[in-house]
Amino acid sequence: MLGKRDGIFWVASAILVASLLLAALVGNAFLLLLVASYLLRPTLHSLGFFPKLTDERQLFIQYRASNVGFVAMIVGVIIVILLLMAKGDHTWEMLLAVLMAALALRALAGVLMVGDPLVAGVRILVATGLLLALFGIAEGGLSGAGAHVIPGLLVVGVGLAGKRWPRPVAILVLVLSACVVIAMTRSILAGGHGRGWGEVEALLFLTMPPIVAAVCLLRASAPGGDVTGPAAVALLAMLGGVAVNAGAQNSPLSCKPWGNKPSVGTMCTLAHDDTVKGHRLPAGTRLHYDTTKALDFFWITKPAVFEQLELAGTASGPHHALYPDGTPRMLWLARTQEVQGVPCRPISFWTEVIGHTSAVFFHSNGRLAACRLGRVATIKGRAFAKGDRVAFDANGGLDAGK
Amino acid sequence: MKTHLRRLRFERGEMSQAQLADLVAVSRQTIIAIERGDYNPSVKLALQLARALGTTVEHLFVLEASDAG
Repeated sequence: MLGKRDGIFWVASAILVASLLLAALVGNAFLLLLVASYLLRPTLHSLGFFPKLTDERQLFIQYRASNVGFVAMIVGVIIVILLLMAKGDHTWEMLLAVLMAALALRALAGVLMVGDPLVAGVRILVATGLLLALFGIAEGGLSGAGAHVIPGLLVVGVGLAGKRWPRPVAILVLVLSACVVIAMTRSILAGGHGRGWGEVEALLFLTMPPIVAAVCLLRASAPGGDVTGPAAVALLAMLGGVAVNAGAQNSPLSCKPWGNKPSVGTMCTLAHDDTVKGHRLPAGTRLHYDTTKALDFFWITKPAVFEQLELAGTASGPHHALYPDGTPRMLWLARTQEVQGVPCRPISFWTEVIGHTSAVFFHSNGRLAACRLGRVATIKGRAFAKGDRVAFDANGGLDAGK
Repeated sequence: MKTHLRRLRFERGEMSQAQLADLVAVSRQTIIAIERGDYNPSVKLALQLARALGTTVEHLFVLEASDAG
């Protein structure tokens, strides 16, 4: 940036040459190195390295240009997410996780760069609490808002208390974060490889900001600024918890009460591939048992084959329903597939938003009851358009169209 | 904000933009931008420029009526 051939110039040049060599030799993977070469100096400066090898005007220009680029990147990612949603491709969850992580990191860095650990710690906890309360309302609806906002408001209260008692609050937050890490890691590991990004994302979002806040509060309460001891102990405790849980995830089924009311039923998670009610289900499948202990619905955490049909699956649904004897009652397909000779369409974001559900229904005797078509078809001599709903009676006769 | 950087640079032995840039460890383009009024330097850089030219920041940079808060 200074126009001189300093150390950063030569390192960036070496990376550039490496990228060009890669381009010439393998024609692949060179673009990231080009980007690294381009961003090396401002990145090093942002991280606090080599401050004397930077030009303040050029950094100011870089800062403004980066903000423009950041906004463009966010808009681009949102557009891609919407396109993936419309296609029913759940990769959008990963993109959303990356987007949220970038925004959260930006917010965290901004608060930390204020340079006052006490202010930073309190602000991070209060913001985390307010977001928890907001998500609580979004999850539980306004009718249940009272109960759902309480955890968030408690975190806000703890954050405000940190202003007066930074060290006790920091220790409390570290202990609570360790408990959350242990509980969520246990849940994730119990789910096996089939668990979605949503779980990991939730773990990071729930625990990282409080841990950073706790470290800030410890720094604020220690005039010498040495927080290595307590922070290291907390980190070791968390890693220990993770290790203990990793070793304890051998039980085939981990269960817990479902919902806020114990009367609703029980939710269990398969630790490994298993056969349930005669159906082969992958590890991570969530099984819901009603109050009579009957399996009434399940969901898989990623698309998987079930009774020769590829079903849709994400960390949060959709819910595939069963009759009490285990016969499929309602399934959601991952793509258009022939179900008993009928091309039924898959679940997608738009079909569910518009309201024309794409669920495939079955009679208790196993015969197809109804679905919407994924393509034009002639069924029992009658022509149907794509998207039409076809229904059958329990004997397989055409019941109603449209 | 008005700057006397260009005049003071010439009064100090016709110092070139590149020489001044070297003295305060910035690029020549930054000196050009400051002289044109396109960039307001940080306090640190303003102090460095003033020291390099043997003057004070108040002599080097002057607030204009349009800068009044």
